[in-house]
Amino acid sequence: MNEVLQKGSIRYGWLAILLVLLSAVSLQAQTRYTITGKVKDLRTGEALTGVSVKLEGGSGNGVTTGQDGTYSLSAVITGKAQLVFTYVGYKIVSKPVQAGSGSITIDAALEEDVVKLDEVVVTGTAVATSKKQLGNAISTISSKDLANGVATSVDQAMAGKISGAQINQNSGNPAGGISVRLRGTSTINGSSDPLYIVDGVIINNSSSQLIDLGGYSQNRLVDINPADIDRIEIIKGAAAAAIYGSRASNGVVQIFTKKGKSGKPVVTFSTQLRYSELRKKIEWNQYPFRFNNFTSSDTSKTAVTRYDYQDMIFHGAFGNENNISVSGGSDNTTYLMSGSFLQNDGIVRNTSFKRGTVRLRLDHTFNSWLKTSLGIAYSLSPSREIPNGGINEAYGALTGFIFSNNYIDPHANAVTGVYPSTSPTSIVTRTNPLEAINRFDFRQKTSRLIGNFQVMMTPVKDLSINYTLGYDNSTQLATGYIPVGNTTPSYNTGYSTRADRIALLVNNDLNVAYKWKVSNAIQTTWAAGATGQTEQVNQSAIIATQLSPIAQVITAGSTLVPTEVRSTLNIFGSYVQGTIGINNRLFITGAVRNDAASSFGSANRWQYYPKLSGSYLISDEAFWKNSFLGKVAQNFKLRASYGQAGNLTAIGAYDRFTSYTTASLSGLPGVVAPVKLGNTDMKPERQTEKEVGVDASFLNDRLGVEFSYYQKDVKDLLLPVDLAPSQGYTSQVKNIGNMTNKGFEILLRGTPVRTEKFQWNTVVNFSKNTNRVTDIPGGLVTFTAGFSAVAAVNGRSLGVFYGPYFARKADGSLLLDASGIPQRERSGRDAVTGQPTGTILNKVIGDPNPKWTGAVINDFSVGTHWTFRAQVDVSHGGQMFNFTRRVGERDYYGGLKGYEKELKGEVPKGTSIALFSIYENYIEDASYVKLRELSASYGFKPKFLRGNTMRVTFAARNLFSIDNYSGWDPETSAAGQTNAVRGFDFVEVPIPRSYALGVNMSF
Amino acid sequence: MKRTIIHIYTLLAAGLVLTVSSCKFDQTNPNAAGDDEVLTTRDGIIALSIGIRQYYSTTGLEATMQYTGVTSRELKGVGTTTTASELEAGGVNLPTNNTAILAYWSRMQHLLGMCDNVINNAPRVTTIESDMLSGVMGQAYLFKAVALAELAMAFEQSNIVTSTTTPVTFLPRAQVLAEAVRMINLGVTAVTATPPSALFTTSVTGTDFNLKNTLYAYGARYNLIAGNYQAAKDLADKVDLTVASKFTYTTLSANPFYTIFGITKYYRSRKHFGLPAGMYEAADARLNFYFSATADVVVSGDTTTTITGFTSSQTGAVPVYLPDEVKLVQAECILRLDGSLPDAKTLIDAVRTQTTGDLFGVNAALPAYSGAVTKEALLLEVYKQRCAELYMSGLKWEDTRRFGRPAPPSNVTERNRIYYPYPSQERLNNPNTPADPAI
Repeated sequence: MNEVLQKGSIRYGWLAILLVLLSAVSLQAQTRYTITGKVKDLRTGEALTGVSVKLEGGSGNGVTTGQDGTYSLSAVITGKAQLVFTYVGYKIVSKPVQAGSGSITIDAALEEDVVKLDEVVVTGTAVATSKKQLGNAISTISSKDLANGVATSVDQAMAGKISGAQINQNSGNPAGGISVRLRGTSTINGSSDPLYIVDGVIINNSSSQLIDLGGYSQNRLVDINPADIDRIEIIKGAAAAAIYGSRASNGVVQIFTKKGKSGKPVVTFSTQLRYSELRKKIEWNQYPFRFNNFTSSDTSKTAVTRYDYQDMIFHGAFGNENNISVSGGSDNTTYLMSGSFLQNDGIVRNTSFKRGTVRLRLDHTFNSWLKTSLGIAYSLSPSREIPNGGINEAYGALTGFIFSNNYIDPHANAVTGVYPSTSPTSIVTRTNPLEAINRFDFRQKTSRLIGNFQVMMTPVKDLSINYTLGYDNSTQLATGYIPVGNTTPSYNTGYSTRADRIALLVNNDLNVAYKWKVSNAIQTTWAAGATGQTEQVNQSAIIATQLSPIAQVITAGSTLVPTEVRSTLNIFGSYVQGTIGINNRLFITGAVRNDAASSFGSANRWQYYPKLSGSYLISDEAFWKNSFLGKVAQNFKLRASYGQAGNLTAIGAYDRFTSYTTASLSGLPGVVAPVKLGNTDMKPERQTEKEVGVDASFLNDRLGVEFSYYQKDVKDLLLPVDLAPSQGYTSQVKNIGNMTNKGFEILLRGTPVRTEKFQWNTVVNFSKNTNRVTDIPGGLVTFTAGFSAVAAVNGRSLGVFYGPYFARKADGSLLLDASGIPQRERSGRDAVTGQPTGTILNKVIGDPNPKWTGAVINDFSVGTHWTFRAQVDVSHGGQMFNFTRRVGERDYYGGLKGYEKELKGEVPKGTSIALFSIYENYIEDASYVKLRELSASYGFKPKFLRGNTMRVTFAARNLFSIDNYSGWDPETSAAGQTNAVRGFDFVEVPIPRSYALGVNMSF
Repeated sequence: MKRTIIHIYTLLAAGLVLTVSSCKFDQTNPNAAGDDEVLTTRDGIIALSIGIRQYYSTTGLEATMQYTGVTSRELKGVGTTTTASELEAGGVNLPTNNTAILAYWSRMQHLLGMCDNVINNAPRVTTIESDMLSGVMGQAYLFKAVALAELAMAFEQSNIVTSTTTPVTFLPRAQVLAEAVRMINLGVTAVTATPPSALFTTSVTGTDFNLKNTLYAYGARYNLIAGNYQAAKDLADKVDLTVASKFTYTTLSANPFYTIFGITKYYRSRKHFGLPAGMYEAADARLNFYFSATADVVVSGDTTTTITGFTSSQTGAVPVYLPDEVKLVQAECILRLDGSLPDAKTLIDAVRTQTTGDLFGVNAALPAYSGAVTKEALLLEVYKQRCAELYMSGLKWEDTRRFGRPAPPSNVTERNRIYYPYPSQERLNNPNTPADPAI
């Protein structure tokens, strides 16, 4: 947002310049000095390129060091001047400048900042602020953390790198959607994904399923090229919400893109070759017999050949990525241009994702008080899709796989080219998976422009004014085609669909901040701001069936069903915030924000959200510094914060109305009342977060610890409430129901070994969150995206699995029926037989929410050439509903190994059909330990680069997983980015194992 | 410095303008009309009148014809979905949270609510002319009667009005049927006192749906169910049997049965109208009308066949009532009023021996009735003819009650429930919900 405020030093520089200009009228004669020097890494002695060098207490623009680490600065010095060296990931170094002769030499050696307590952040603060001063936890990721990976999107790359976050890839498609949960889920009906801001632009991260791909959808963060990112700041909860208000209850992820540095042009080029493969096959039925029928008393069998469908569906997929950027500029104007192209094939044959991006970033300094910045990024993201999953439509390839019995050879007839139906019965048919792969044509394409314009002013000392205008306009188009004459259950006469969505997000933000130094001991910062935002979406879709042959477009259809939705959501917010710093160690911040959104009725439209936080740098107190405490812990900060935020996503722009639907009859235009009764009294969901924590560093800053404990209470959840149908309507959305998230997060950063030739950095993060849903009317809400077997149940975590369970004896063993087959529990027991009687009972049978998650990242630098990195992600205590196995082990289909027992006669025939209705049987432990990333990188200086570094990297992602899960991967979710349905495995494409070999260089 | 300030003001002003211009909070919904627009304008009332009929002919019929068809053994639930398998199981295995029961109950309640909205609001819209209003009111009374009667045909008790403010109370089904009959009478009065204009026909009903005849035919049907045989016969006599009244469909408002039997395929028709041996005649030409000649499929011991009839096209019409139903109502009324047996037989034979000319092509082409000419025997014949002629029209379940057919749990050949239990959703949200029937 406030680019000029990113670094405190820059700001002070500006103030200094302003002062000089003001005093220039009276002071005519001044000496101009040239300051030169070289900056190197304290540990390795290597020259550092791109270090920002600024003068404080004089005039002159900042410069950056060149390839050899040298810099040259021309400046006018007045009084006591300091030269400040800043470099991302390193501690700031200040050196005094002694005004003497015309040329001065100042060298500097920078030390890597392992614990990052000095880091300067801007998210949620009025002016750039050192992390030390904040009352709330804030996580940061630098471009260095993102480098050398195989991730193709920002959220994918973030996985495991921040504490308090659960980042889940829902689909293994090449642009598979990802869900990010910061400190748990904070709504039921809305979205729990955080607010994403790129260079001040609130961006669209929607997961629109334009056409039915079985549950999977991309989330639009995939349009952002991770290579363009300089750093990311993440606030996990309401604590900093005063700046973001009613959209911030899921946290804020603010992304800053790279910008140019003055100097001669620097070209950076990187290229990467990728390979992805299926990490693990599900065990499939290889028993060479099948039953002749489905009658349980008849166990006669026929010999058959069993086929390995997974071999036919999956393949090893290649991809490549190229990035190029040129940056540079003069003292007043800097630029960065970049272009990239990514092409990544999916492990399901005939799937791919491509992304081309171009970006321009221009920063211009007009004079001492005015600066502007412009960013334009265009991306085009086409993908080739094969539908899978099966949450709604059942025409997918993997859907066909699981509903097939693998004794049928799925290949097309060699003569006619006609694909056989792989469904063993004519009652429930599904698509032949090879036909889906070879004959279906499903595509998506997103064309997107994100632009931002910022004006930064410092009209008088200590006053800064920033204005940001942000646009994000995306056009998505999706098409689907199933040719006439096919094995699909519903579209034998052909199917063509086309859907598009144009989404425009605009935000204007004005922020004014003033620093007022009351005395040497008391410094205050005051800020006020306002924002106006609009979000306009136009979406339409046409589904055509009964196609004429050959033609693929919707006009080939004789039955057309069009839909269109338009929506405009306007949001206005304003805030005031004040920070008081006492002796530069005790900081108290208070703020209040007032917000309005057009989606709510006038009675509850305007909402206030307060915030209060404090931090105390106890290690700066003399008693600490001078005692043994100071020797043990060099930094020790206590912090606490309280804040409220809203969530607008639970309802759409017009959901408060009773909206009649069109119901035309033979040219007579009619309307029908909706089954959902409107409610103009709805108000935004409100979250109150309390957080306490400690940030500390030990062992001479070799070990950093961040600990936070939080409690988030969400009240007034907007939920669709069942009405008595005799009201004439069956549901209404009301503010009802509450939720809490309680938990803690720990981040450890350390450098166990640091020598000139070898450095070992390690980062450990651990998060534990407990989610509880309370006060839901009726105690239960089920979600159709999880086939109503996923629910919100009072007193339990959101998204628990809910359904029938085994009838058991008192000792816990299964109570079998007369035929020796397991059965569902019912409300009573027959007095004579002891068998279950009465209604079938449902209960909570599993919980997809992990008890804790964590990650360990180890980084090794060996000598001057090699770096190695390994990231292990751990998720413990969650469960999956293996719906895939439920289908694949059933007699009708029986393509999975679990069905072999029945064929072999190890269990009575009919067992699988009985188990099919006992959901408990398919709940499995989803705990895993995954080697998320492993990379080795070799950096050297080849002659042709004339002293510049070239780096060759080999990296792997999801190399292995240690788990007890019988399906492909315990990290999947067939319902895509749906908020409440997690851990629901229904033939979604598994996350592949990927390798990449890359080269990058700059010159 | 002054220049600086001017610049700031300019920028601030620009910023604020941009901010303010994008912040309109009272948006109208471009996607749909709301209560305000629909219930207070002439266009809105007319559109809702069309919508009521569209709703019943699609969403409504799906519940009243399909679900009761499963319960009265005309259809078999073959899908592995919970809804279909529970409905198919019937009896005590049909739980109160079954979505089919909920759909039946809530769709009729929804229809009731929409009709009441028209009945209460249309007379207040002063721009509606009287000969438009009479038609609008007549149709609203008709479908209110439909909603009430359909509720009474599946549940022992029901409310007769909906309310968004207070929990409704319930009346026994006899009183609900009485209210349905009263609504029909109000409808007949409305359209006979002020005959609806030609504009009403072109803008609300279209040419395929005949309001007046439908009021008479449905009036006859509901009076018969209520036991008012003379009233039923009088209304049946008024039906012009040369006029067809149809529910029509388009691809956007598709024939619901095409979707059920042609696309989702969770239900199939049982062979021979689902009737046990002796209850149907193999020579009945209506077997060829309602079913295709394709191979039968045996599903868990039951022979199922492929339905055609009014289900085979997405845009094919469904009769609002069949003319032969009217004849059978007349015959049954005569019998139940202890009238002339030969007169009743004549009416039955008119249905049996029809070879051509049925307005909807439902011709039996059977020989004349040759059994005993007694009240009991002829009533049984009326039942058999109704089962064949009115296959899957949502009437068989009620017929099994009126004709005292074998009942569950001891005998499930012709029905597997006597009444549906009340849906859980009603019970959980309305303390006045009566106790569920045993079966």
